[in-house]
Amino acid sequence: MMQDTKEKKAKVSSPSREVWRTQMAKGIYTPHRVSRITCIINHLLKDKISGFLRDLGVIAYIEPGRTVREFLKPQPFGLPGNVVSLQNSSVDIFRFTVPRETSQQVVEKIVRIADLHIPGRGTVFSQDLMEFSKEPFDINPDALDNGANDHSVQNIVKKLSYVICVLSVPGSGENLARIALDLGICVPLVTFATGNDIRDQLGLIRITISPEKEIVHLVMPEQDSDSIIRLLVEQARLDRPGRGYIYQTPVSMGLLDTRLKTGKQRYAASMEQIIAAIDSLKAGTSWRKRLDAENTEKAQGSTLLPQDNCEISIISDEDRIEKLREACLEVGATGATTSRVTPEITNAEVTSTMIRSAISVPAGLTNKVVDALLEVSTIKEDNTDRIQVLDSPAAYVHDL
Amino acid sequence: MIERKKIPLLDAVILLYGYARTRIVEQVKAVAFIILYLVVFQTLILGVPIANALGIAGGIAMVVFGLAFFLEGLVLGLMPLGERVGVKLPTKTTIYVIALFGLLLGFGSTLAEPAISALRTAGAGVRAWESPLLYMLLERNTEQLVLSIGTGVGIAVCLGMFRFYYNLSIKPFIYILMPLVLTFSIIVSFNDSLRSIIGLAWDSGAVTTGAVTVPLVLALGIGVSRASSKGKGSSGEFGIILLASLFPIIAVLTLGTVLSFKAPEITTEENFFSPAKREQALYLFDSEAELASHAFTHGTEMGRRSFYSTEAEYHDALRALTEDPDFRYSLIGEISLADWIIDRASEFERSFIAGADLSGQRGSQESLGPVLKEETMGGARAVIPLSIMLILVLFLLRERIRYKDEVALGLVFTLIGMTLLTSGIRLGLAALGGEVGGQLPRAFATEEKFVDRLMIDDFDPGIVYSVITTDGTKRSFFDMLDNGQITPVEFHENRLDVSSGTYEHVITRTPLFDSRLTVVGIILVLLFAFGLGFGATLAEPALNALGMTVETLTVGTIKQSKIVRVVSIGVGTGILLGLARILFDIPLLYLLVPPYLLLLPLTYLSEEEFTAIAWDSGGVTTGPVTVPLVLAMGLSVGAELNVVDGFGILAMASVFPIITVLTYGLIMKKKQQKSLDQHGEDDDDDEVDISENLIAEKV
Repeated sequence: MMQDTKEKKAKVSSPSREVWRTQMAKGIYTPHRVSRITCIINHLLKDKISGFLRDLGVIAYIEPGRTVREFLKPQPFGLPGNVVSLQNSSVDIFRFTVPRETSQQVVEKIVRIADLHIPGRGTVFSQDLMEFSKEPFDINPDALDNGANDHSVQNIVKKLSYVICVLSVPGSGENLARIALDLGICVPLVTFATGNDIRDQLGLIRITISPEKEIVHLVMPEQDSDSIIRLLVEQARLDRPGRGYIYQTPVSMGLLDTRLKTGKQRYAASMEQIIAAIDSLKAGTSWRKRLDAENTEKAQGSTLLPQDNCEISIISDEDRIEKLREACLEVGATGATTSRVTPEITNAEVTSTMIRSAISVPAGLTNKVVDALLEVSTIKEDNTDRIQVLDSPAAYVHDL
Repeated sequence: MIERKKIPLLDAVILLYGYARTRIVEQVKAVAFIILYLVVFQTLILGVPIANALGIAGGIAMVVFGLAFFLEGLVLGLMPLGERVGVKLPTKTTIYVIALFGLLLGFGSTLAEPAISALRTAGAGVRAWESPLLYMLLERNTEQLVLSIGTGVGIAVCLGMFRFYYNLSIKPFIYILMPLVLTFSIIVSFNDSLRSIIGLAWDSGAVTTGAVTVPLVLALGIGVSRASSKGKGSSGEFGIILLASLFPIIAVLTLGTVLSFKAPEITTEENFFSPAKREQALYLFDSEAELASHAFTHGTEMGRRSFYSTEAEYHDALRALTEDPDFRYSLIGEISLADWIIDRASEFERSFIAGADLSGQRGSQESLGPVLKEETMGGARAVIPLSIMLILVLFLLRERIRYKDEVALGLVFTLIGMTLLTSGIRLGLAALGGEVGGQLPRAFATEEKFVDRLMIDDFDPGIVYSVITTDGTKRSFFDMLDNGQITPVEFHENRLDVSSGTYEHVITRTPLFDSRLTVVGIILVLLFAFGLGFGATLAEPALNALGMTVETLTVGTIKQSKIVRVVSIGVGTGILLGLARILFDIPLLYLLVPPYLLLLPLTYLSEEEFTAIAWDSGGVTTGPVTVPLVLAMGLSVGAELNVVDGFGILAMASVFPIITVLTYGLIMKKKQQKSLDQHGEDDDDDEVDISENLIAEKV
């Protein structure tokens, strides 16, 4: 119960609103209220999405990743039971922003194009956030057909939560992905990133600390996220220093990939398909709430307490990102992870290497960090640069 | 600036310990297979104890540390540097500058990492009269050979840059180049003199891409394709190594064709060495002394007899060989007299110089000091010029290097690693491989082979006794006490010198199997070849660098260990077939053409990215670990069968990994497609049903 009141309080004084108010007052940079759409799609379907985004006229940033599923195989020699192994498939993650009012249409269109209502093809979701960029953008409305409200988009649900686990121990991504699958949360997505913040503060001894981070992305019903995060923190031992951290950001709507298992199926429909069907009938995931409050209370006894945070992501040229990171460090925000992205642009010829850097900052620091970033950034010159600010109501960060 | 944190000494030590341990454990795992395999094979199957076990163990330890240092050095120094250059070149210069840079880099890396020594080892047994052209390329026109290989690699890297810059597919390159190379080889095979160089050409393609060049070129490729993908998404970062394997073949074949007009004709050994034909023979040698040396080291008794115009001169030379050390050196060089007698002398020559002092001359063991010195020079030559070139380019582009200290440390690590690795291989792994390889022919040999002899002074013929066989023939034996064991030894009357009373006891190597069982022996040898190729490839640093790159770029969908294993299976298969070629004397083209023809449809079916990875893995497999081991085995088996050159094995080891990796890729693709489709189709049907029901309900 305490938890709920806390969350409500956080929403009243949301850090991203705070940023919006401050920057509007200053009037140098105008933040745009937009929706960021993230589309995680099987690599074999990449071209379909690329083509659509080009028609739509947005700049999408593509990052490679892999999704992990359980693969069931009957025991050899006719023995009873199944052998469960993990199966990886390579996916591409498209991230782009659209005006808030069109986000639903864009998500629906993507679902239709890539047949995402069929489990196992991909995930798409939209998050509302604040973005700084060179110019307010337009999208080509012709690319969106206001098609008939067919059944394929019925699976789109609201009130989700996007949980990001940044792990520092090599190989722990695999582990966490397995846990997520065991818990039946969703199809985990794993990406690679680097985090140089601790290393940069050291001398040559830094070579002993790997900059490589594995990031596990999970999308789950909002009401479960708190208890699941606690479970993950415990399982991945994130309560110990130097192992990583978790934060979550709200999702306004999305379509989940529910195909957790592949391989031999015994029934006419898998459990995931049944869940998805009920989701669409009930138009939501609230019926799924299963981790009871008692359990949550118990987990709360652990050392970590949720913090109000803010996710700031920066998309910029590889060389400039160094300066931006330094600016963050100077105001005391550490833990940025950077990953390489390829911009997908309609007409411009880009010959630069883009990086996406994400950082989870305590609410109190947000304004300072954004100020520092805007000062050194080049969003005024370069229309591929972006700074995005997004509320993150629960973050579990161990002090470094 | 960012403030620096101080780390307490104890913490630093703990950090360093953990860091070093993971790296070393990784390499121990990488070499464990090949070492256990060789030891088990030698002691359990061939039943021979390991000589100089301590030295070999030391060498292996050096290999482990060398690999750890080398790979870490690549990750810290050379690869970030290469990638940075790759990223910056397209943003700051034009494609022509990049192409020129690629040309220079490819050319320079070939000069820096001379694969020519491996080729020369493979061709050490080439006889000038049988394949004059091959001999010319390896011994007389070596510089031209190196330059042409370098040009080939240069053109390859240059074309690779064009591919990355303009985002071209790799497939057309394969469709055009592969048939071209194959046709060229087939045409060449119709010429008797040129046929001999096909093996050399294909092997040069395989060995050119060394342990330093591969990671560097990969990093460069990643950089260029990242910087110039032009919003289309890149078509992969691989492919240069494939090109760098094909162009040297064309280059060497072309050089061979040009030189073939000048090369002497193939003739018989007797003709070649006869004084009447001296002028022609001297076209291949600097002086008569060198020609004589060739007769002694490569020829048979016939050749030596024909070299000296009279019988007396021949006898004088043989006598001088045993008595005059300088003369001996000029004739047989580094080979010890004992080795010469065992391996090269005929029965007549053996008895002619019987009684010569052979003590303390058997075998030659390499010592640590000179090897280290030599390999340090080699390592420095491979690492330093290339790094300077990269740093210079960054300097010219006015780019600063991030983490300078780290890069410098990485370069030092690479150098230390390279030195330790190559010395360790010479002292440990290759020594072990040579030992096993030397014993290997026993598995399929049908006859006893002369190994050594023992002079027994004051032999008393009275101790000889007679025995009878089951079919009634009588044979003579005597008992000999050696190392506290009495063994019956067959007595041969002709070996007893009645006047001096010395008996020449010949020690022979007995075949492992009865002559009827040689099929088993051949299978055993082939299996050994497979395991050797598989194990050596697991430890290959360039392949591990490629695997790391693949794992990072696919975000772990394709694991490093997986791709290394798939490639290793391919190399094992290739080496098995390469050895079969030597055993059964199959023309190389019969074994090369079918797999490459098979590759064309496989390539057509495969995905773009996987195609490039697969073809590249073909080129990286033959590196510092595999080459010495494989050559040691190939040459010793070849020597047994009187096959003069060990060419072709490495070329075979390059083609099969491509097949295995492409097949693996196709299986993966099918799985992915299946998981998309199968579900899709099923679902579509279900979905239709459900929606129809829904509609029905609503109605």
